[in-house]
Amino acid sequence: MSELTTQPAAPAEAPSALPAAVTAGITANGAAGHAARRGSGLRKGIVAIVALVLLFALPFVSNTYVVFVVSLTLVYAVSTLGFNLLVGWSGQIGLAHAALFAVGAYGSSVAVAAGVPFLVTIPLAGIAAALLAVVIGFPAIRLRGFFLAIATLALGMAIVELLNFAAPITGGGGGMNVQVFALPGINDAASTYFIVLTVAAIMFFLVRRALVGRFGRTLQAVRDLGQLSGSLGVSALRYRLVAFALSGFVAAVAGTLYAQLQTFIFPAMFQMNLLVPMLVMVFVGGAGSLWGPLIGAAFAIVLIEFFQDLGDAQAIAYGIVLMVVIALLPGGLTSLFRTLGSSRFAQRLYRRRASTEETS
Amino acid sequence: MLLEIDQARTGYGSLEVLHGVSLTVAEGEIVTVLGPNGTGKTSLMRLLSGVLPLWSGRITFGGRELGRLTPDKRARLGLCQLPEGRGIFQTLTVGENLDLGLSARRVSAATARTDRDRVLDLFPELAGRLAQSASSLSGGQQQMLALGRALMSAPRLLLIDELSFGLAPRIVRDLFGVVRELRDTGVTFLIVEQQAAALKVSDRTYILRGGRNELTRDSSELLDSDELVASYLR
Amino acid sequence: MLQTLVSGLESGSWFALLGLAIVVVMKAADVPNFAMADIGLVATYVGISLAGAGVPFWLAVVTTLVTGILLGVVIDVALMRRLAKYGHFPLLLMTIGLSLALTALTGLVWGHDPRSFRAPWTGAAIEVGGGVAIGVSQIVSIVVGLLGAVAISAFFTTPVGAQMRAVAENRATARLVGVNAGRLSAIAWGVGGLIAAVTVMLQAQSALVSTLTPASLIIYGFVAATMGGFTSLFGTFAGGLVLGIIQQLVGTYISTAAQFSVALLVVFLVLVLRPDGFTKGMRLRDV
Repeated sequence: MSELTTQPAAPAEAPSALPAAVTAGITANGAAGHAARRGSGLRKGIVAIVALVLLFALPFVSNTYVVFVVSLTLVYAVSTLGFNLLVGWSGQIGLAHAALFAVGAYGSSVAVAAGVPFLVTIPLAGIAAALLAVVIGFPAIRLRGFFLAIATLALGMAIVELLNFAAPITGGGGGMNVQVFALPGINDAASTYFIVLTVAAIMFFLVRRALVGRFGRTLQAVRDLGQLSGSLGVSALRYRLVAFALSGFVAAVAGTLYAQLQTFIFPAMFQMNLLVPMLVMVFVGGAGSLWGPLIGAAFAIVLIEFFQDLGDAQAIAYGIVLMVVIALLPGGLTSLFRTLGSSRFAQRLYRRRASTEETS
Repeated sequence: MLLEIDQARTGYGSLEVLHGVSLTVAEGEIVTVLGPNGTGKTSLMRLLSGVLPLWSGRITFGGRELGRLTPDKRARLGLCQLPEGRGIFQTLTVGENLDLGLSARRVSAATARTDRDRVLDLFPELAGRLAQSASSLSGGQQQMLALGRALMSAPRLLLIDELSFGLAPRIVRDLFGVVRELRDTGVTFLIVEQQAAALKVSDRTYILRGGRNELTRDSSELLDSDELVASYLR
Repeated sequence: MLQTLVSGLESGSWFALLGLAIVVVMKAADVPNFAMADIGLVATYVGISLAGAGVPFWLAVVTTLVTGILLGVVIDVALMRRLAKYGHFPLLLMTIGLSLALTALTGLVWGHDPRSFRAPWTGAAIEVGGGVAIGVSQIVSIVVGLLGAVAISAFFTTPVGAQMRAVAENRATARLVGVNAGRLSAIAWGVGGLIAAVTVMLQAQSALVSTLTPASLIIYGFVAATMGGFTSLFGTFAGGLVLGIIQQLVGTYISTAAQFSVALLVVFLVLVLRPDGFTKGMRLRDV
């Protein structure tokens, strides 16, 4: 039977046995991987700390516009981190991300208006969005490829539409003012920037922790094997749902920061005109690296700022740059899908199965 | 030689499945490839049809190196395949399935009609069911349809992956009878099988094991030594 | 009430046709084409410009159709084909980028003012009694929509159509059998472009179109396609008509602001309750 497990069109054997095999492979490989990574991890850690210190110095050496743009980049980077987790790591094209981002922005702003301290609303909005993401993901998760994309797109749009209808709370299509939280002693822009930077650093750290370890590898394995075998067992579906929840949490956290940064929010901000740049950020950033979201966000921000106030020319430029990037880097995402680690892991998994079946 | 495979290696991702397999098929021959499950028989078929890339080695068909030709181009060269699990399109009618074989070549409507009549003569069971959905056919009839469809593309070499798959012995015998008949009309066959039954119709047999050539014999020779075959197929 | 129904059927015909265009490309090329309505708009604007420059009406119509076909084929060959091997995501993103660029390009060349494609019958109406009049252009939309659906169904029974259905069912096996998937995909994009051109042209001979048209039309097209499970032609067509009528009823009796939300709700319900399209069960029973 071992040949079956090595082949894409294999019958039911592989999927049902999958979770156990995945877990077995992970526990076996986890320890070795950690030891090998520790050396370069230290160097990377130093680089990260130096970068952080430099970033913290930024408001003292530049003007508010630069501070705003860097803040926005960081917010998008956090949002992309979550989107990447869903699209890149778990392989699901869920398109409700802009809506979950909106849930964070509105959830936090409404709660702040009701008297809840802003810093408390960050995790609260995140948890609410995570629950909502599960509600969105639950029916959608059985859908294949593009159907998932379309179902989640429709749901996301519906959520944004709801913001229009909930005018008494959200101000409807006219939008609402956001009470900006300010740290004592510094101006608003710098204060918001510091909060954005701190939260972004925490989110990067948390997502990194989650993805570098066993969870990330399982997600990738579920994604890769899912592509091969077509159907998945219950446990694999649970992993995909967890990916939805985490990605929703991160999206909403980014959304809370976004509202603080914009100081005024309205539903139309969170429609396709936000989703498209978000997709671009994920695409450009690629799925494997944790710095990818930052690069993707910076790329999109430059594009947006650069082509601002050009009207139609902006949209054309945007569309064309997007098309050129896809044409030149079609594997931008997929090449990273098959990162060395994951393919080696999958390979070892196959070998393990093959050898155990042959000896038995 | 119609088909020559020399030291072919291939696999999935970075996992090597075939570690240098060599094999030849002469014009008009029926060659079988036997081996237990997991030895890379299906991978060999996929390699030949262009689904899997050739990592190293050489494959020539009719003197032409196949290289990176896509599956549909190979089919148009006359290297046709009866895929594993038959590959019948359930949402198409029996007639439409048959005519799909024509997509591998350019023919006049008249030629298409005579070819179709010839195939239906071979499988009279299909003749009355052309307008039916292919999903209404029995397993044996589906295999006939798959074989018929492959014949519609006027193959020079027909690759068959498990003709006997899931079929009753009597039906398998009938189908192998058809294979022999077709050989007499000039079709060459490369048949991958898990069952030794295929030996009865074939001229030569390759036995694969663990992605390598294990043994090459005339089929008649293997037929006489049941234990030998059985030991390899275990 | 009759007026509402006819208006619903009219816009429903547009949704249905665009949904069919989406399904054709989805079947053969496995891409959800977010630029479909933009292709139709560009083609229609070419026709409107020609007609405005004094070109005879029917010649302008034919040019529009040809433009739609050419746009579809060129996009597939020049942009989409090389991306196919990289999976779904780049393809999806490419059609989105294309949609942005085409809409903006249209705005740059033709401006953002709404336009119409005046047909000889534009403005004419038929009295049906009781003071109710039905526009000839509405009837044209409904009849052409119906004919279009029949033509597309007929197309899928031709040898090329059968190959497309085979590719839709199992791309890998179809290629093994010798089906040239690249050629089929170009044909599908051409047919899709043709239908999209017809759709927007129908809308333009009855109402106004502008650069805002594609954004909503494409969503409704996708709703219709979803109702057909992205495979059933009948389901897509019926879905489009039902959607048109629902939209019209919601617009008349509730509010036009709710129309969009109702459409989204329909997609969600269909995908959750019947992921294979709402006619799936019916078709099985027929067999």
